[in-house]
Amino acid sequence: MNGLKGFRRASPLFFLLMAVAFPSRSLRAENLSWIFGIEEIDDVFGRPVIAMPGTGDYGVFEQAAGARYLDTSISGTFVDDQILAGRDGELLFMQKGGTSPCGLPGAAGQAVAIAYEDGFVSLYTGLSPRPDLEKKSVLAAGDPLGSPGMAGRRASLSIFDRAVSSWVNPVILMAGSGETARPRIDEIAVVSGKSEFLPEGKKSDEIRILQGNYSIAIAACDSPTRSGVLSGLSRMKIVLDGQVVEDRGFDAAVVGADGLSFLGLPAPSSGAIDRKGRYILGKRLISSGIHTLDVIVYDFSGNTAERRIRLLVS
Amino acid sequence: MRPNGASPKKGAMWAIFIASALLYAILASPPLEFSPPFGKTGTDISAGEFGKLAGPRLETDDAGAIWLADPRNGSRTLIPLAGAPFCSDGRMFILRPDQKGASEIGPDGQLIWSREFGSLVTSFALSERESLWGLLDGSIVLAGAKGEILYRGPLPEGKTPSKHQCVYGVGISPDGGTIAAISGLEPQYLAVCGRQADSLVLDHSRILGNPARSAQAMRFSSDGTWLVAGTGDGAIAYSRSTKESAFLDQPASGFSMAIEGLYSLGGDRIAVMISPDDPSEAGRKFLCVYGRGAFEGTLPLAGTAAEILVRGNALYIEDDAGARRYEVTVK
Repeated sequence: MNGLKGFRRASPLFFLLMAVAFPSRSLRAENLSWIFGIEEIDDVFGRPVIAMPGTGDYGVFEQAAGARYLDTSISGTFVDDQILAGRDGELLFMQKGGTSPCGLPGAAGQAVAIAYEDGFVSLYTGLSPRPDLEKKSVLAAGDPLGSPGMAGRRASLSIFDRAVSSWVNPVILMAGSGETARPRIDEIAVVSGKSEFLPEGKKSDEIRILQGNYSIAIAACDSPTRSGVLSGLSRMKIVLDGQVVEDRGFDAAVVGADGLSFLGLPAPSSGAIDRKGRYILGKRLISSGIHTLDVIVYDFSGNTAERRIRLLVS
Repeated sequence: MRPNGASPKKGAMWAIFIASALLYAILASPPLEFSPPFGKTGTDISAGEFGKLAGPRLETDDAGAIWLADPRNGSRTLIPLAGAPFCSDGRMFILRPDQKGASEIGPDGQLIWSREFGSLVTSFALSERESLWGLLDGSIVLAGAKGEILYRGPLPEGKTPSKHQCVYGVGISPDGGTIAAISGLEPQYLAVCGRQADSLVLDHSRILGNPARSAQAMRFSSDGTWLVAGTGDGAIAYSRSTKESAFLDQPASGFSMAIEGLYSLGGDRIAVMISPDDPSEAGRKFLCVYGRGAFEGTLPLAGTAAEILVRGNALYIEDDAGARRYEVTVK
């Protein structure tokens, strides 16, 4: 475990690499065990935690009016009445709701942040903190933090890693959900400035463009199973003429001067998506000729979706 | 100010506090008077008049849409942004739904700037031009009038670095030259820094024995000469000229944990709105006025008092029952 901690300090990508290379339930459970404790897996995630698409999933486009950004939290339905501390920690911050004494409204609702010895912070929003929580500054594993306060016992969890100043995707740290539904690629477009080019006709896989610099816009999401379980997108890959030109993961969002950097793209997070909520990946020169563009998306349960487009460039 | 001493404890002393406050206000002849005289309810004004004084404000309807309402002309404009709106010192902001970004809205409803901070916003303060934001990750962000970043990072730490980082309260002088923050755990600091070019220079720091774990109020006086900070230890005043801090003089012990708001009156005066923690005193609030840290007067308020406007020597206070005007005069 100490070795894992060292790797984690070196790079948040470690989680993604390990998850892809060894997508076993035990490895993920181990990761979470030293970060949050097995109890927290069981109490928060182990019984079916159902994350609903588009309502607060990590890396998903927030669709509220004008508020264009990618979310750093996952939301889920908590089976139990109480959310328990997974391991020993310290109450770092508590937001009771309403307007704070400095005049700031609680936009995220009631919130509790727990700091751990190794620099991780877990931030719960949408829960009702237990009344005496602020007086109980030191928390032991198993101590109740509060109850899921939103309708249907929903609450959200974000995990911040101070060592790398990043919001880590909590799904990386979860035991695998085992869901088998494939993610979905809804749209692929080639974009240059305000111009965008889509396949001609619904069933066509051909896009005609002029030679130039283009970005690839991808509308993709993970599909829930019938029971509503989904693991979320883990990775997007673009292969152009057999060469991998983009391979980006939803492992962590780095906090920088301009905000959140998702998918390794420049901050703020609104820069990673367009107005339609499509992920905008790598600008590159597409020269004249016929090209094959493969887009592959992965979810955290190892399910994939793939779509091929032919680019006819004149 | 009284010198550093033991932290005042909140708790069961509320009855004593209220009685003491009344006696102090009546017998000690503080240099401030509220007209109508102390104990009266002020002069009723219409809600419309209060609204006109407040100017345009952001409101949220039942569907969560944000509107710019201007009671001066009755206009209402839809603001195409989501989040939680708030107004301070005549400026209007919208905090993003995830509380990790904010936008400033102009008086005509136009977007002045929008910025993603990346970490949860825990506190904020305004100077005449800038806005200062405290974040969960322990950094502060000083944004210019157009949202440009003037400083981003932690405050200079005291001799012992804090084990955990988080900002619980921020303050900025009206001229933007001095920045203060309550930050960190183990230990928690009240730190005051001067701005020099692109950096901050620590002017004063003080370890807080009873660390706060939620947002605290901080406010500079209008003339920028001193600062009041709500802390877990009690209300602390900092003098910008002497670079020293001390606990506020209090009419009685026991109120300091329940600061609801701080307001800059003219010159070196600050009003502190406090409410009892004691459930038996629910429904009561008080406005204590201090000049350079010295207690000057107390005004009892309705428990629902929330909006306070300062215009010259007049205080306009709105609660559920309506709005009232108080004239503040120096004896």
